[in-house]
Amino acid sequence: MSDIYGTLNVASRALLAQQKAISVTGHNIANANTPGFSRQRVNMETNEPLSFYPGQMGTGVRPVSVQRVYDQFIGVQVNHENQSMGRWSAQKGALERIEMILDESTGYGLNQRMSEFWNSWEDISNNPGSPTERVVMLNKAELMLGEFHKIYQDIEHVQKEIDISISGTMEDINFTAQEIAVLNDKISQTETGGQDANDYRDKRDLLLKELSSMIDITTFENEKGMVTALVGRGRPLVENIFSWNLSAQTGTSEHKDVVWQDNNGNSAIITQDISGGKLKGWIETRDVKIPEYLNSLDILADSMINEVNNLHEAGLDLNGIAGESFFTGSSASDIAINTSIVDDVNLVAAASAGEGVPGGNGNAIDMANLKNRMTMSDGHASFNDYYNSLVSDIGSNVKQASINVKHETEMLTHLENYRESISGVSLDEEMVNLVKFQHAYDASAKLISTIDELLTTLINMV
Amino acid sequence: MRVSNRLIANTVNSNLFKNTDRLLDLQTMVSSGKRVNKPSDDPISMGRILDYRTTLASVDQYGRNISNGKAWLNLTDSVLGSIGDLVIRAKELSIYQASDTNSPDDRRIASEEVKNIFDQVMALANTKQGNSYLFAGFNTDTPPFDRDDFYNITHSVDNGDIDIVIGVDVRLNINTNGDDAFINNVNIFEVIGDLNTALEADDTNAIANQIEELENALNHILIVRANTGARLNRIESTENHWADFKLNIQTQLSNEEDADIMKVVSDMIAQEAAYKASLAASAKIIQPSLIDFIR
Repeated sequence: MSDIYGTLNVASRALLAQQKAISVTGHNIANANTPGFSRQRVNMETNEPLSFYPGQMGTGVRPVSVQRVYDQFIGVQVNHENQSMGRWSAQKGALERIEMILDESTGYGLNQRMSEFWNSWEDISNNPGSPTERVVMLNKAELMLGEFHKIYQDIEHVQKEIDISISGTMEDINFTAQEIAVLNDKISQTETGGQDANDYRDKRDLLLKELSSMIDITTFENEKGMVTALVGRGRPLVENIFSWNLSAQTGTSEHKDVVWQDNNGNSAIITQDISGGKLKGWIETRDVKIPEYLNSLDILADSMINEVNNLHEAGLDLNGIAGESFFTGSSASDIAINTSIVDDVNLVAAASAGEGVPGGNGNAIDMANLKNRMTMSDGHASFNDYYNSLVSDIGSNVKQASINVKHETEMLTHLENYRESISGVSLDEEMVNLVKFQHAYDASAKLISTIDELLTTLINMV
Repeated sequence: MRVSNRLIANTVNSNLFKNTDRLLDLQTMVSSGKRVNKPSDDPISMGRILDYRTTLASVDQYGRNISNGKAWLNLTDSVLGSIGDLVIRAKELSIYQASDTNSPDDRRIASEEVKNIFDQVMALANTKQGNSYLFAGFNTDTPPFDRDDFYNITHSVDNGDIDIVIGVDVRLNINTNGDDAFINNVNIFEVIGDLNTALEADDTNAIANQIEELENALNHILIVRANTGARLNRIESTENHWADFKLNIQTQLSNEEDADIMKVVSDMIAQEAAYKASLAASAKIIQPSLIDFIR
């Protein structure tokens, strides 16, 4: 029907189509800064033509669909990198706190305290009969033990804070999983009706990205457009319109385990199955790194207790009697000075067996000499060496985590930029489109007024 | 590449962050003067820094030990010197009183002086350094020498060797055994006591006999003093060694730990310029838009 009314139809369709395009352009501009938004476009095609003399006559335009512009593979890559990013940044955060606890760069850490303790024995050797040097040595020992206890407790405190962070993250994960399940429902309903659920999908992609920064997930989409997210070796977190809950529970160890629960009340501990996201970073720091550090401190304290006690018991105190144990305890957390020595400094055994008192100072010299003896690491390190290598070890762990965070930041920036270059809104482009569609709209309107004039001419003929 | 507005904003942000991050690092170095501000800045360096600090603490302690040892040895040296002088005076008296030109009264007066010399030598042999008797062996809290009314000496020295630490596994003996110095080789008290007895008895032959004994005593004191002097020399050269060593370690510590301020400041200025450039470039790229032109 390429009559005059047909042309009017072409014009009215064109008006509607351009208006739709302008509306979508407006949506794009409005969401230029919305996280996760993919720009959209109206797909237009020519309307069914009519065969007519002298040839096919077009019947105008029709909008077919509103489509988002995106690369489906890039989302998966971003999620993957986000898991590593979450892991390393969580680990970096926790390790940096431990690095601060050691506080060796200022020169007032345990290294210094140990040196002072050993040296105070040389002060005793210079004046073995005097109580002053003995009292000073005991003070130095107290300072050193204070540092041992403080470091140990502060590192343990980091462990406890990690537990709190893990518990808090459970709520975020569960909330995100619920939202994804709701969006699954909306997307499937929208798309069963034959339309693209652009905004819902953008929103769901963003939630999956957030989820992967917390925990490693495996995702796939079914034919209804619903996404399944699996955690901890194949346990579902979201499937169709359902979501499952994770919770942090105090398990056999004193720390929080991550527990997955199904609807029937069955539960499974998945702590060891988590391999990415912030949770992995925290769990690794809490269960691997920190126990390593604490163990090193314990070994250091235990060796010190044994070596010092052996020597002290072999020496003679100011009364010429064999020394008692100098330290009590067996670890960095419970090492203490024998209270009877604190109460009576004469019990400090400064003389070696066979020497006279009060002038004998051989044991004090031997005690001070412990600082040079290779007592640690199977005879390859002194006490200070051993501790210094612990500090270096923690330093290089922090450095490694920082390097990984930097690397992941670069990777993510790169991927985000790639995603932006495909899906991001360019205001200049939208502006050009706006002008383009506006002109088409104006021209379509002009078409209607032209047809109006034609019809007026016709009517006036009658 | 298609460039979206968010991409521009993200890139500007990430570049500015990178620049400010580097700038902050450099500023921390300049303000602290240190290259290594936390273990992760350079874990290997941190290990070395801690080693150097341990060494420095030890060297400082050796310094304290050495000054204690020096005080001990110096005092020993001066005590031995004084005792030597007293023995010389006793020898002069014996030479003088052995001659017949002096009267028995003179000898009685001289015997009073010799008694004084005996007590002075004994007081010197009982000298304390701090609260320790110098010549008592380990028995440092008891005066090592005492006498009865007849100038018979009693002594309570044990054979303790008191060492101090002057280096890693290096000890130096700082005490001089009172028995070895004053009793065993030549009994200096007996010699002076005998002189006194001879003077009181007005026996010129016996007085003359003590001249050689006193000579022997003096020689022995000189030998003991020479031994002390040798140890003083050793302790002083060790002290010099540690002073040099400390300087050396401090230099190495500084190399490891301290920022090369000239370099860091010039790096910081370069970084500041880069930061300003990226600010200027960002301002240029985020300002204009098509809106400015199609109105």
